[in-house]
Amino acid sequence: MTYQALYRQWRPQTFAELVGQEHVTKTLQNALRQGKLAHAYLFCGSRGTGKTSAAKILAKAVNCEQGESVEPCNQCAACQGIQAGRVMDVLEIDAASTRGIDEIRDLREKARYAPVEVRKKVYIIDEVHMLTAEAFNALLKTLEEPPNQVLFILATTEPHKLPATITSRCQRLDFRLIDFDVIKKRLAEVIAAVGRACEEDALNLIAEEAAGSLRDALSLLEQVLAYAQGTVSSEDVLAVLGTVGRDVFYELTAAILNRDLAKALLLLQDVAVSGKDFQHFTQQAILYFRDLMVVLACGERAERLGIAADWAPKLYQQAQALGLGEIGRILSILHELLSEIRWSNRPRLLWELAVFKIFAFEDLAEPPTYTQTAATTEIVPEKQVDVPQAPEVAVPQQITAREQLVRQWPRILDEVKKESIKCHALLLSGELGNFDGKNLEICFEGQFHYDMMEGEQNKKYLENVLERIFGKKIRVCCSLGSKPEKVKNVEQENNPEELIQTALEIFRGQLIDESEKE
Amino acid sequence: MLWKTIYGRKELVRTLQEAIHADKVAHAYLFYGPEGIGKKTIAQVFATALNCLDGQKGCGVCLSCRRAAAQIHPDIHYIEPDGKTIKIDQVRRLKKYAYLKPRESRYQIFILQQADTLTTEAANSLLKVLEEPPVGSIFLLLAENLSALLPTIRSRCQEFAVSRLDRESMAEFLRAQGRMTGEQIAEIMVWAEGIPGKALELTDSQARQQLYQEAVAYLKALAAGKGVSSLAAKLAETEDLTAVLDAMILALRDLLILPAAGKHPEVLAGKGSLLCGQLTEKWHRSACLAAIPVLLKLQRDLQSPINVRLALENAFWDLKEVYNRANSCGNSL
Repeated sequence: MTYQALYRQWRPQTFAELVGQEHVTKTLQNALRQGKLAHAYLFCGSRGTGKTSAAKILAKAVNCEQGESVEPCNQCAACQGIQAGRVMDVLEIDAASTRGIDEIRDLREKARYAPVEVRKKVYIIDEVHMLTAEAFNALLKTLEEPPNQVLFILATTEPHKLPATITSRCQRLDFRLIDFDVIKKRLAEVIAAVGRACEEDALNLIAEEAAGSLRDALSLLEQVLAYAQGTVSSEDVLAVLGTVGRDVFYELTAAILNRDLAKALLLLQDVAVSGKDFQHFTQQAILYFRDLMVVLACGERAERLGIAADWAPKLYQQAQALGLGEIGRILSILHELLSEIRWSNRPRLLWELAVFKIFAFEDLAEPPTYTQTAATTEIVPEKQVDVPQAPEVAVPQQITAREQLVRQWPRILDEVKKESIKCHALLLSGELGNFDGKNLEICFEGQFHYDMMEGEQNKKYLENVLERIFGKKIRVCCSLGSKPEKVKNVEQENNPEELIQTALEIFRGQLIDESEKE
Repeated sequence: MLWKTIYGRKELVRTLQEAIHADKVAHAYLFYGPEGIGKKTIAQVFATALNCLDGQKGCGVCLSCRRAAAQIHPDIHYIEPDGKTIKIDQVRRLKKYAYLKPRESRYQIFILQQADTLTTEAANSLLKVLEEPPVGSIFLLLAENLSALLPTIRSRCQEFAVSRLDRESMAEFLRAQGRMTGEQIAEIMVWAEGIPGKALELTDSQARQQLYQEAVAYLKALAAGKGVSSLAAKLAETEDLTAVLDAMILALRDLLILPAAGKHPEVLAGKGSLLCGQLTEKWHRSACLAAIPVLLKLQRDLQSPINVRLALENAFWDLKEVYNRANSCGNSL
């Protein structure tokens, strides 16, 4: 007998072993007991929750030689035959491979014949969501009124892909994600059975990573067992998962707080060099900042929301230094990053960009020093700003609030555009006036634009965006008349020669001198 | 010993060897990592070792090993994307083999290259056989992009990240290629980012610097407001278009982190700050920040069948706009 993967060795053989799905087993067992089994069942649920296992157990239970009972005996010829896939009346069909109408026609034809070896003919149609539309329709009549001795069990991870006509003909049983504790208990059983030892922390990590799928948990455990020598420790699990410990994020946040860009980039370099999966890394980062948020919001009660006690004080310190607004901003950057990283083959570059975005904002506010406890960071009025120790970071030594605003201005415009195109257009015709960190002045040349912008609604859009980006309320006021030092428009900047050059290129024309013609 | 040909990744190698040694080989493995990282090498060595006649050591001299090396082993099957994806018919064919006994060896091994290109249908039809394969069949899946794989596939495999090489292993690897000075090795390592396949492409250092210079030239030209269309046309005719675009992205990235990298030049791709120093005056940081996504999108677009020149032109206009916008902000100060 060759070696079998753990999840195959530990496939449940009775309803009692099918952990975490009591609502399903109870339904099925009651139906068995009362002899009121439906003719078609639909098992749906996420991967690794026991659909296929339940289908096999049910097939055994109805066909067990000990008589139809609430548990298969697993001893008789029928049970063992079904177990090994030898019984020709129990058909396990892979709908993903045999998905055409011809296969279903064939099935329909054969379903009419009485079973040969056992009492009931059982069709287990796995991955049923992959059947073609024609195949589904061809199945409808048989599924509605199957011959007497036939039991259909459909199993799928994606029930929403089934036509409603199929679902309505089946008794649908939803398999839940398996509880953390249940998975942990099962893992402990397996470990004891294979004669290995495992740290509690390591078990927790595996169970957490499995996210409700027992097969994932067992696959992972197997991998960890192969990797670890002797007792399995949490480091082993982390190494197998290719994830990083929390301290990396702690250091990253520290780098953000100290505005040490080089440090942050080097951290990313380390992650890249050690070959971690950046997508996973991003997810973890999101979780970390979520923890920061939770700690800040809940204070002492954070432990109840799943924050480890020994980390809470450290997290609290960082969270306070960052402030809620900043944490929220970082989280939204990371979320954006996560969706981009999924399809990119340059995860590291994307991460670097994201880190840069995170830092760019920092320039605005006075960077909170690490020990600072003020919960909110203040935008410092002009002239007083003085950037404290930012080693090697290319932050100009004097940054006024206005410079910061100007730097963020394109982004602000983009955001405004999303809210209201009208407002965006208005802003384009205006110019930035004074900005002291709390009040922003916008100058307009024309009366019309001024009036429109003064209208509450448009101002509100801008204020909303400003609040989102800077994490604090900024009042907008408008003024009429042009400013002496005005922002030059891009078009005006181009000198006429260049304009002509560009026009020539676009229209593929040539220069004709008017004066010569005359 | 074939295992010696795998540089670095001691843990991964040890785990696989241990599995063979303890006779606990799982039925499905998934190796993932970026292109050129060495997934196929690992899969090949593993497959060879599994079928090695000399106590599964992967001796490299027995008949089985030599056949495997020549890729004519009857029990080691390679499945590659047919066109852009792995189709359901290929999987059906594979399954036909999988349910047969291995011809002559202990294991029958299927190496699915670029398993992330499996179509939805193909991936689904693989599920059943991947869950409970017949005795003696082993699947090795190689993938670049994990998220393109169905979660149901992933949960049936043992997943292994094929990591980037650390400095020592990379240096060792490059030394083993021969004819390289220490300085060259150091330079290549920065560009290759721990990916051996990339390092091999980069061994020509002159070409590399030339690429970088070319990229810088394009960026300068854009900043100087030269004709966008003619620039795009010129670039469209370049042979190694992707490489130039790569270099442009790298240059912009360098610009971005240049000030921060003062003490750690190893994070920079361009050799020293000399090259991108020419650009710092012109390309504002906010411009770089906005320009990189434009180029990334361009690279993505270029993977689909479109008019290269149009795409380039479009992207260059975008770049120019980005540049102008950033600079008009700068001027207003």
